[in-house]
Amino acid sequence: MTAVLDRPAPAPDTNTPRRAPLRIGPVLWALPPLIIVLVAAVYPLIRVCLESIKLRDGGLGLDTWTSVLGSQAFRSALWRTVAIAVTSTIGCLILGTFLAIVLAFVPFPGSTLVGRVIDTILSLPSFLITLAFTFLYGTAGAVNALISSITGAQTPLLNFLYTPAGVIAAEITFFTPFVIRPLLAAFSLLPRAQLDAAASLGASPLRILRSVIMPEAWPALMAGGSLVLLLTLNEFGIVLFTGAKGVMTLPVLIYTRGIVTFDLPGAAVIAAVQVVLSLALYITYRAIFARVTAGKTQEG
Amino acid sequence: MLLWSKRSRAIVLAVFTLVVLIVFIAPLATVVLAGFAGSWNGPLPSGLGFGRFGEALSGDNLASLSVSLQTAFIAGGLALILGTWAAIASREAPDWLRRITDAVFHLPIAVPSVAIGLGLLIAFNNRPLLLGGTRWIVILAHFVLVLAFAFSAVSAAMDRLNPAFRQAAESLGASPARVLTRVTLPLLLPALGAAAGLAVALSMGELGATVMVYPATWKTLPVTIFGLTDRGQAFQAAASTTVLLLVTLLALVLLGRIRGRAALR
Amino acid sequence: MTDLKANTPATATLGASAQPTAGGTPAITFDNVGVAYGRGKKVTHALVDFSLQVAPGETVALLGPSGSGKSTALNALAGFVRPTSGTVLLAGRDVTDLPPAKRGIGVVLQSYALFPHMRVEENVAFGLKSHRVPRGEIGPRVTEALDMVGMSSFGKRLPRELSGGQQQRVAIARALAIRPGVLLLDEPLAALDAQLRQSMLAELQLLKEALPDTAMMYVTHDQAEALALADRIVVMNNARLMDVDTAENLWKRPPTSFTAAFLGGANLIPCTVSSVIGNSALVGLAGQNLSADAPQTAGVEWEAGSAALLCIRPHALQIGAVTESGAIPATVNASVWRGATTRVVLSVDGLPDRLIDVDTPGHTSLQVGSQVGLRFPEPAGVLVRIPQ
Repeated sequence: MTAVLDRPAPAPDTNTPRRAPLRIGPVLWALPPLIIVLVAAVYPLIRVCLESIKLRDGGLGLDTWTSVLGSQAFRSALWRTVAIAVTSTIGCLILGTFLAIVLAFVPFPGSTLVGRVIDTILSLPSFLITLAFTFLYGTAGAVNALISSITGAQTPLLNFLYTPAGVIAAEITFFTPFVIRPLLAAFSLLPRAQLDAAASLGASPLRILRSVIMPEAWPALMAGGSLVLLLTLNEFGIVLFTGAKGVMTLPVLIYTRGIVTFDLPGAAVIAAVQVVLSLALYITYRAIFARVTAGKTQEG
Repeated sequence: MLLWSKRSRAIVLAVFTLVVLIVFIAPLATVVLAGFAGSWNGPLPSGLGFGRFGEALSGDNLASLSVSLQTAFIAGGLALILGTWAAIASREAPDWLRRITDAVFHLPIAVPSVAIGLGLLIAFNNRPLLLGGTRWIVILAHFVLVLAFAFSAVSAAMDRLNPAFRQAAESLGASPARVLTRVTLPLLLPALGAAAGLAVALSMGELGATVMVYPATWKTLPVTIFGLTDRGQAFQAAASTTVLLLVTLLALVLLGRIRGRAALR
Repeated sequence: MTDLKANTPATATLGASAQPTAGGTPAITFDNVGVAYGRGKKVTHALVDFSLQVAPGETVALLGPSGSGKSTALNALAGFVRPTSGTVLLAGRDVTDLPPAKRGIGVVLQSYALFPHMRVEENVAFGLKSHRVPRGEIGPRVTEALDMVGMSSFGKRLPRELSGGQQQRVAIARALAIRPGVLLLDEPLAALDAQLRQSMLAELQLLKEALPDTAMMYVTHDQAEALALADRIVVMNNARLMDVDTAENLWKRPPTSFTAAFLGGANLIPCTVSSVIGNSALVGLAGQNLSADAPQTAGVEWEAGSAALLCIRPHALQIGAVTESGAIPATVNASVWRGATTRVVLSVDGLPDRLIDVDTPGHTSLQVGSQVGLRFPEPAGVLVRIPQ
């Protein structure tokens, strides 16, 4: 046997490194689910792209693309979708930050219950909010009736339901929990001792908020914000229930084109645009998310 | 720990409570109340009664509820099985395969549900795979959408699983199949239950893809509710929505209870 | 191979002590095993050129600080990690590419890893079922394993109902039930509190006696565990094997300064070798001539005039009045009572830049700054080579 040295030997082995033997088994096991999803999800999306370049006479071309992209309906729907999504996201971020800070740093009995309730809302259908708004904030709704009975005015004060503002309000209600969740997770990693130390050094709550809490929150905010942006861009139920009179977004346009007027190629074009847009946003979200978690593990 | 004086805490909590009430509780409560209401002209509803709920649990509405439940459990069950299979198998596979699987399985989250619906409509409306016009295209749509969440949840649970259990089992001579069935899956059971609950809940509320592909014979409850609002029957829609909520919550609670002996109390 | 000098009967050369003293096929053989992670510039070597043989029935401790590679060596043996170079043999059979399930080793992990959804007897029976032991035999063997660790009455309990020490015993029983030829234990006492550690140490010693044919390998960072349990100790540092020998030899004649300091704590005082006679030497330090053991390491003799380190254990030094004959004057830097001993830190005239640790029995109250006399025993200590 080789002699054992008592001083560290100079640079390592002269042995050839062994390569791990190739194992086919694990690859075969992982393939079937992948194939099923490729057939069930990826193939239909490819068919959508193919459909979008079909022409009425049966050939292939970009005519549908040019006509749809040039149409006023598409342009205004695209603008409307992005505007609503951005505004809703900003609203969710502001509201979500406030709620998360209170839940995490101002303890009160039942805070876990409230957190649980907010979590459950995520599992409910989004159109429920719009339906509720009809009763609450509609022109014939409860709030207007209350205000009228107090002020005696004849015309309803709140008339925003069938406008983008109504959609934005509903989306903020529904998607704020998606911001609260990662924020609470980030806040739970913040050691309480830091806040106590800052307070003992004379910092006011606002200063602590600004210099101790928010720096921890930025990555989670970015991750949550990009997720909400993605989800609001693709939101369908809320807009559908609002009605196409005042608000037309891309997903609803796909629906009306595809099912109501049965213009499949046109719908396919819009769908393709939206898929590209949301995929780009999703990749951005994952990149930010990866950076956030990598940063955390480096500090740990 | 942030606010030290009673006064500041009281103010902040008051604002918090107000916000939560207005933003979250009010809509929920309104829908439930509207389901009980005969009419609602003033600030408060009037003519309260169970009539609409009776309507919501009979005829077309009941049939839709049953359709939704069947779709949710079949699609959710299939999604859970395939998602678990993929999550466990991709862990053993080489890195490149794992990354592809991860990307592909998360795809349905990234794209709008109507696009998935449109795609299924176009892809499966002809031979050889003619699913359009049957219940299976709806189930397939829900399956695709819910799969991503099931895969994500099970993957996260696998990440949290202590590798020491698997090592101990292998050192005792267990074959990979035995490790899977006797050790890994029982330890994953609580997470699987939660994932199943989430899958069922998401399926029950799904509208975007369903509305693109559903045949007249297989209307889910959200589709029916949309029809009601479209026709101006908002109160009936509220009652049916409340039923939908209750059934969804029930499924969540029941499935979340599946913990097995592996869960720590 | 290295020679055995005729007049150094007590010193085994390192080459020879890498092999077990018993004859026959070794139970465990590491042959130049290396484990590396990453590629190109970012390679981390977790284990480098590790070679060791363990005889059947022998107990070996892998001792070292964290990052020394000891856990990696254990994982390579168990099959949880694949070596990037070298081979691992069990009873002469090459198992390097064999999955853990086929190696027939018993492993007790640091976290015990008892299956929380199975009762104690189901946990213990798991290995037997995996090895397809006939159903009728499983019950008696489970009982036998639980008896060996004194947990017979706990069969129906769930792991979460057991204390840490009880869980560990069940983990040991589970590993022993399959009657392995080799038993591996990863930091078995690390998770226990001081009192429990003592009783568990005694139990592990009894276990060792009850299993004379099973080779055991412990991984530990605690030298007290290693000294108590092992026939031979393998000292590791920086992913390499530093020294391997019996506990006695490593303690009395540490081959390297690392082992001298790690195993038992030592003062390593620079000195100059005045003359060498056989296994003894005269060394000069602090203006005094002291005699010291000068064992030959790797067959190389000590040269007169060369520099070396004198290794002397804190409890071997004595503190007295500064006026005593033969005492070296020193000033007290610190004095910390530790219960059974007092650790006194001295700065010695004539030994600048070096503080000497002395352990005196009982509670010694010495004022910081007071002058005392330091006395070396006869021989003063053992010579250790200065690391390159």
